[in-house]
Amino acid sequence: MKKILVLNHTRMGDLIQTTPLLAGLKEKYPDSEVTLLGNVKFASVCKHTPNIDNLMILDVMQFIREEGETSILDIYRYLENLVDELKEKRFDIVINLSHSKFSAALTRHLGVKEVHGFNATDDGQRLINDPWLVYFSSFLSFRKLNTINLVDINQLGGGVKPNARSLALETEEPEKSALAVLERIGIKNGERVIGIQAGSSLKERRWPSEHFAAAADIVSRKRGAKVILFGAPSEVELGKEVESAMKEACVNLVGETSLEELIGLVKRCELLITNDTGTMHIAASVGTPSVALFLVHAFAAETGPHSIGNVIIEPDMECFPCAHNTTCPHYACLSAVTPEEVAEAAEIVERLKTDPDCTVEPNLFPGKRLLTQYFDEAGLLDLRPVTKSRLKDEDILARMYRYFFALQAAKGLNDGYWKTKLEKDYVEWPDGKTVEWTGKKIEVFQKLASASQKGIKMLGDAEKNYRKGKVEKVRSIGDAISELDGEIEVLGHANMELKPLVRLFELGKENLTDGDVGAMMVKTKLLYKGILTGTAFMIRLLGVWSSRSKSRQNKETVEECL
Amino acid sequence: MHTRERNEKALRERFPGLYDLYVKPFGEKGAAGKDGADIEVSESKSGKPALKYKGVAIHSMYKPEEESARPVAGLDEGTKKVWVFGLGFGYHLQGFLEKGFRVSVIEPSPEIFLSAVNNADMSEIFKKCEIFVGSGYRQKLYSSDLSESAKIVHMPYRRGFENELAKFESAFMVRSFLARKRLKVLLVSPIYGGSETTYRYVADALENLGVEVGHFDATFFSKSFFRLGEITKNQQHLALLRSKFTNMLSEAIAASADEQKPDLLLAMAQAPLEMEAVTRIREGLKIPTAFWFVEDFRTLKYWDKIAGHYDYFFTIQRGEFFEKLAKAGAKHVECIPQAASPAIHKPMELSEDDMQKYGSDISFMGAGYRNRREFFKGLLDYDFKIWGTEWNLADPVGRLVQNRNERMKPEEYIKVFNASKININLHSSTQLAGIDPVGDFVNPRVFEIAACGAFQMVDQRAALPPLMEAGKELVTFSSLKDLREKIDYYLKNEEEREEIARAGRVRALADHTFERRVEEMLRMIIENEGDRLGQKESRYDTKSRNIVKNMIEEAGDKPDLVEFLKKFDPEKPLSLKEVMEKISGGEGALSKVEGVFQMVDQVLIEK
Repeated sequence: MKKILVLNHTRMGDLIQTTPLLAGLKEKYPDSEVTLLGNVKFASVCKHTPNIDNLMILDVMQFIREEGETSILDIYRYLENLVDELKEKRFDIVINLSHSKFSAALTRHLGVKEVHGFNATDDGQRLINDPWLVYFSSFLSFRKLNTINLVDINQLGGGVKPNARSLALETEEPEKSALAVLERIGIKNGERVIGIQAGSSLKERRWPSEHFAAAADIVSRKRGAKVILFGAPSEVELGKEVESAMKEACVNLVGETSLEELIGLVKRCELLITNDTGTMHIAASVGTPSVALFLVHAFAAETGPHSIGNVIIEPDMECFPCAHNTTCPHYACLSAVTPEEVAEAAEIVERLKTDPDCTVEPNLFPGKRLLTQYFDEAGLLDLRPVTKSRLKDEDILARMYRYFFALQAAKGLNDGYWKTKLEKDYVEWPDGKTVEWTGKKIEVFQKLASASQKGIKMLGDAEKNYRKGKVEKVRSIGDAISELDGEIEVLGHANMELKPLVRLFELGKENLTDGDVGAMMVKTKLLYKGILTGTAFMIRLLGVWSSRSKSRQNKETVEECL
Repeated sequence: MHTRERNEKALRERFPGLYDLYVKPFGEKGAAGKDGADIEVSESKSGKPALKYKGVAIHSMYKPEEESARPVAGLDEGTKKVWVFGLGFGYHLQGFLEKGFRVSVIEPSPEIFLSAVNNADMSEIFKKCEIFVGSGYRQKLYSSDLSESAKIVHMPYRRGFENELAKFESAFMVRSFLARKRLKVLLVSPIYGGSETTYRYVADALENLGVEVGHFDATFFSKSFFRLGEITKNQQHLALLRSKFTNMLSEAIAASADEQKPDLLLAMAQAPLEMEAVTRIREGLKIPTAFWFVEDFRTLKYWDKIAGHYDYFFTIQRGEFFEKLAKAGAKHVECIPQAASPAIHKPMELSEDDMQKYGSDISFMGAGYRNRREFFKGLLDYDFKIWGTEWNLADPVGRLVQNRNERMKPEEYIKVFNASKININLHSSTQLAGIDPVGDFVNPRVFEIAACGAFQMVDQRAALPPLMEAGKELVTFSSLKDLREKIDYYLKNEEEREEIARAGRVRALADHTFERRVEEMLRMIIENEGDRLGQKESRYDTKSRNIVKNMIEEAGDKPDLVEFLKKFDPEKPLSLKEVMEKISGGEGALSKVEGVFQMVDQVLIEK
């Protein structure tokens, strides 16, 4: 029997996004015992998370007093007990999905052999065990080229094959507790209800409250549905703003629901209109579709709801998504989406129920991309444009990279995996430009490939000299390698298309911890080989894309002549 | 056994230092059991010995043993320890001991102490109380948690010991305040210059007193500052560059203050602070600001522009300067002389080699100012060694310079003080050729040499008499002729030299440490600011469980944790920042304790 510990205690959304991993663990190890260390703030959500055998709650807040009054010793004892208790369980596997230094220190302390995720070396330096979780820490530097949802990365990082698993929470208890609320607010059986979540943890990521109000009015009138406003206690003011801006009646429950009631109430709704929020993930895990607005920093490719049947609205702007920690001077994307468009998106949600492949004319949503999800043949969640949009170079590259990375996750994929989707879902570029463009891209990938070949050769020399004991020589080669890595870094900065390979290479190096020089050289060589594999793959796909364009171009020329 | 012998035995067992210093020498001189001239012992009506000192009755002449009941009443509830000023024959202490108080007693007079050993039955008191003679209590007081302590003055000591009592009360008041409240001082150094050393001593002293010290160490920027001088020879350009540089540092200090959130700003002379920034710090953080002008106001005149901008302005001169400061708008002014740092300035046993190297009949340690270069020509015929910087090595006086003008650290130059038979101290002057006839303030060397227990001869200074007693604690000279005569005399009289040096050290340790100076500043500031000063929650509150010694006590069941905690100052609350620094500075794999502390630190950051 495998004993598995899962650490994920930072945010409620993160926890819900772990549910497919937990389900996958149970499939992979049917007689396992899974322990989740959860945060006290989301303890009620943890209770309704399926596939957990033991729930342990981390509650440091109970010791926090005013500044200077918190007893360090109390916290020390609490954490020491926690560590001892966890250690006693003798876990076989620890999966640490929390980015925190705390969880890394805890993981190290448990001394478990199989660790997936954030860990620390014996002298306290952070490191990441598992290539997928290295990927997890890297993709923010190539956001537009990543199409793998966080939930799938969680599963892969936890050693589980993604298998088209949606988010899932148990709803029996929450539904019961929601009944009382529904009775109190006068919503009867059979009545249509839609939910609004106008908040978001980051204030500037919120679509304007009056827009939410107007969209809710339209949908409510059209469907004859009641409207419930959801939100956290910190969003009470916002709730009042939406309420007062609405023309139709609504029930304002912002700050008034327990998490358990929230789960039950969201399940009761037929639709949720929301920013990228924890409530959105709840909706995805109880089967309530969302119209989800992904604005500013939020990017659906990463944190979109991990379920099907939702409509995601993103601005089609060059600057989108904002890099994290950016303060935008205008936040133009927030006002780019109109209430009418959101109401229209709600109609598309209805259409998707009977026609999952439906598309709409892009001119209905000028300057926006509408997306919906499906599970692809690798079992990964994918986004598909509902509005056929013009193919951008990053779309092509993102598809190619998706194929590259999906191959590491699933077997039996072929070139159709990326090509057919591009052909089906996008309006293409003029082919002539594609040929020229692929040529340039191939050149760039070749540059990176030759740099890593150089690295492999240098390491070969270094190994020879190392065996002969020529320390000075090894050192000077080491310096040359550092210089080369600097060049690789620059290539990555200068060419967005190389970033995934370069960034993974860099993080790979950061995670090399063994002190033995010989072993380090072998591992470093593998990293260069990783680049080579990637570049070769990308060059091949670019070639395929180019020749396919050429043949089409020829065909069109022939047709024109005829 | 005779009373005295019993007392001596008890004293030797518990306080051998006191025995060696105050009792043993009399036995060696064959004066065992004899009292000093100011002591008068008689039998009281009850048969117990009673004492008069300089004609004042220290104890009742009727029933001295009944004094014990009086002082116990009227103590605050929760008092567990008393600090009693005045030992006498100890009758008044019995009540405290019977009620289970812990008792520390301060006897200001060595004569009374000796008389107690000679005449009264002190053995119980020596066993149960903590005894201090002279100013020996101060270090203990500084490191004590006074939150459950009360101060008691044995009434007869109010007359005759006014000075000593005032000092004790001041130290007690400052320490009690610090026991009650947390105080953080932002200490600002100059970019370079003489006050830089003072800055470091002040920082240590503040910490010894239990004050948290935040630093702005501007010496870090000195290289850049000097580099400006190499950029241009155009004085106007240079002045502009320097002013912009100072302006930048001034802003940096304001930013640092905002970051560190001190309760008090204390800037050392020449600190690169502009008045606009001082005002901003005072008003923004609502804290008092202080400046220690350790300069000669006649030579450096910038005090005029800054004195009015600080709440407290400390000087090393008074008189005429105080009047000028009042005109310049200074609010609270006090003269705080320079001092010694006993941790650095201390007696040393020197090796043969060091004696050879640093020793001589007469020596001088200091910079080659004009008056010194001239005056010392008159001493060329002595066994004379000079140490210091900025000498003209080519001239005859310069040829006596041993260290070729290289900078010496205090750890080294105290060897000169310790090795020389006579340490000459001549206050500097850039204009005069010899002794400054109207020189007033006293340089740090006066106290440093004294604290080393070394013999010094110093030029007469107006401010010297209340600080050090000429002829007893050091020797002064008024002219070259006077100096030469005295050198000849004292070279021949080693015992007198040693006696003066010893007395000088006692005085320096009692009155002229940086702790005393800082305590004096704090006393003034606390008296004026009252409870506005400092933060509410006390780091020294015994209730606060984060004080290391309390944590150690509480963590008794965890030996590994106790061992780890012992690495930190037991009197202060555990700082996680320090813990993390210690952990990351360590080598090898983290221990369990270190690992758990890493988690504690993280959860507190992440909360």
